[in-house]
Amino acid sequence: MKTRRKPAAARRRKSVPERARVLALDEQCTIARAGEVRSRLVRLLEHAAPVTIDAGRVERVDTACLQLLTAFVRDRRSAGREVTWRAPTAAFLESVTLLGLGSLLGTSA
Amino acid sequence: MTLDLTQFHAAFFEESFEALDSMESALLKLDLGAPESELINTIFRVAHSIKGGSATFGFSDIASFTHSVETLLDELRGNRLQVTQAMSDVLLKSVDATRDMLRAVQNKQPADAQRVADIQFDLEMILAQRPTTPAFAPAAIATTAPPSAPARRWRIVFKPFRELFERGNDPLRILRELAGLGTLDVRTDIDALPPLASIDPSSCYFEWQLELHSAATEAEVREVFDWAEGDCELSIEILDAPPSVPPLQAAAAPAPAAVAAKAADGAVLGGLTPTEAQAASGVGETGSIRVNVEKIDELMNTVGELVITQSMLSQLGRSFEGPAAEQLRQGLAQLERNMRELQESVMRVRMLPISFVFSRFPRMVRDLAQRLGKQIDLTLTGEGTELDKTVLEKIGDPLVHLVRNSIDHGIERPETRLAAGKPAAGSLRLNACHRGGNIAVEVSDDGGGLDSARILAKARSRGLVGPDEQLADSQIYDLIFLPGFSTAEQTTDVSGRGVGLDVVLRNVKELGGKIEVTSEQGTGARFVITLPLTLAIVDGQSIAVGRQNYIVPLVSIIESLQIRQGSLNRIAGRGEVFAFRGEYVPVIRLHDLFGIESRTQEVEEGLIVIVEGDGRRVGLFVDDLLGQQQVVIKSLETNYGHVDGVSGATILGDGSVALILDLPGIIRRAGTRANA
Repeated sequence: MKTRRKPAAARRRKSVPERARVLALDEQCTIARAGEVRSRLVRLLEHAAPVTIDAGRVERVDTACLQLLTAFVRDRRSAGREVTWRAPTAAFLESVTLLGLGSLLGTSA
Repeated sequence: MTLDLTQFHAAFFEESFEALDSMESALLKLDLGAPESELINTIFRVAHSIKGGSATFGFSDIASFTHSVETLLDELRGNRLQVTQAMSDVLLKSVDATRDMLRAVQNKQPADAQRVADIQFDLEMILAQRPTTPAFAPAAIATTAPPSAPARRWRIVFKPFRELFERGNDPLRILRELAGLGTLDVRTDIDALPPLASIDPSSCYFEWQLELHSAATEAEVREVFDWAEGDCELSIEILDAPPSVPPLQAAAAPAPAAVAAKAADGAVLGGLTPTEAQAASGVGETGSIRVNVEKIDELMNTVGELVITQSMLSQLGRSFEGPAAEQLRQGLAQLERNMRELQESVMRVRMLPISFVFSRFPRMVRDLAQRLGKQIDLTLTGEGTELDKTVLEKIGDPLVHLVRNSIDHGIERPETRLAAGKPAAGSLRLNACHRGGNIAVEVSDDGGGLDSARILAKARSRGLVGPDEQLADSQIYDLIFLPGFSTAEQTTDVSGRGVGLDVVLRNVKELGGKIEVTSEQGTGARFVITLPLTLAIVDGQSIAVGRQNYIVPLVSIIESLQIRQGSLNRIAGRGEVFAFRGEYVPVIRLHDLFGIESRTQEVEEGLIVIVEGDGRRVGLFVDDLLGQQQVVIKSLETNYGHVDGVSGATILGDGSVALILDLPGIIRRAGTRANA
């Protein structure tokens, strides 16, 4: 499974060498934005360098978005790719913990 | 057999809107810190009944939202949270949001989901601050349960259906509430979660196995899942019996009690027991029934017909001779009295207290004052004053404008007030009372008053008033009702765009009313709107033109006079004018306007009726004045069609039809004709 077929969006950025990327989550990370969140995550799914998810602005996250993040982390880790978290807000952590996803997302120390 | 629930929608909406109104007024009465428990109960009941109804009817968004509201209120009820300013703000916003959502469902339009989500988030933030806030510990949340009841361990298997999200439910909320009941251990099953690329973002793939250590009763635990019912598979069972079981409870709840809740069968979904539903819907006054307005209008119409028949009989009775004639006339007089009483009673049925309109002001004033940084004490008096429903519906907007105007332009900021030796909080008064056949509604404030010098200067700069023209104060105040006139130095989003007062005046005039302004600079302003009590009956003056009779609403008549030959002046291309008390008034010959043959063309043989409409005066040239009488207005538009210059029709005592003149329309028409 080492074929490097990148999605169109990634191909366009060909000139930039593959390096660590940061995905910043919006303040409102809810079902209303879930479609958008999904496409942003899908674009980074096969990014070879580490991906950092910045949850420093999240004021609210719901189950729909946490499902997507869970799938992203799970899919990347199973392919041996790294995901790290940056500065998750208390609101984000509370939701993750409440849903019992702490260990899964690797946000709990 | 399935029950068609849509037949109950209308009643549900109506009751919910009323309930929300009472919730709003209770919220406004709520004292911060130490609220009255009865008020909190009232507020709680409203949220609870709307939640229950919405769930029953499948309005899951509303059910979910009101559930959050209810949860917060329950905390208040249990004294676990204190009422703060922020909280009462959020609760008021929740009232608005619920109202909007109901309206959206009613009109089958989408609601503003983002706004609702925002408010719901705020609610949850407040809830998160309660003393039993779950501490962050990986997958186990410890809370202190009330020490009184023994804690039990519950196993909950919660398997949402895929469409759970689409119903507006978020499992996070459920888990958060469960965590509020005690210690919650969460195990999330993500096996069903497909690869990211094939996930449907609006489907729920997670499933949960929960263990709750709590003293809550089964009903309390189950209640948490109340609104997800039908959208999930749920089993709740007790894992072990509590260490010391009170005998009563042991008998009542034999463990293990596993109940599968895969219910989707309508009517009881909301969790409302009949008594609760009854208590919650009992918002209206006792001893009153809900009657469709159409039925009342029908009754009103029939009474109108009766009045006409009665006056025909009376007229006929006068021509009778003979021994029984006197008796007949007595009987007819009795009939007339009874008729009048009947008519008044029926009209009273349509009358509603003005509190229906006034009730929106406490909230509005509070919000506006907050936004503008002003302190305002609002006093409402005469709320029980009754007026016709139609008038009531139309008076709301003008009053809102006037109140806004007072808050924005009238009442000063606290520091300005203190400097002027007034109390920091401005006083705004709304009063309603009956005056003869009219209702007077008064909006007064103790603010800066109208600055007549500034108004006059502004009017001069706009060319509305000549540079040397001297005006009395009352004339100056009337200037503020001109379109596009605003003296506010800065336009705000509250008022000051120059739309408003002219609209107020127009609306009031359309209702056949007027506005008086009195003001004293530095001490305040007072606006008095006078309106007829009803639009169904008008005091009219019958006039004759040729062989036709017309009715002119009495309120519009200023004066009627006979004039001499030669006192009409013809202005080239602009028709005739006539000098009346120092101003030239255009003359409209009604026979020309309606294209009928008049008895006379000579001015000295007829009469000029000076009328006012749309802010202008004209003289109507008519053949003769007949009697004055109350006439029942019949709509021409519903029974026939629109006729220019005519606002309606009535049937006179002799059975003939008389048209009621639409003076503003006639004046506008005359104006365009003259300018053409």
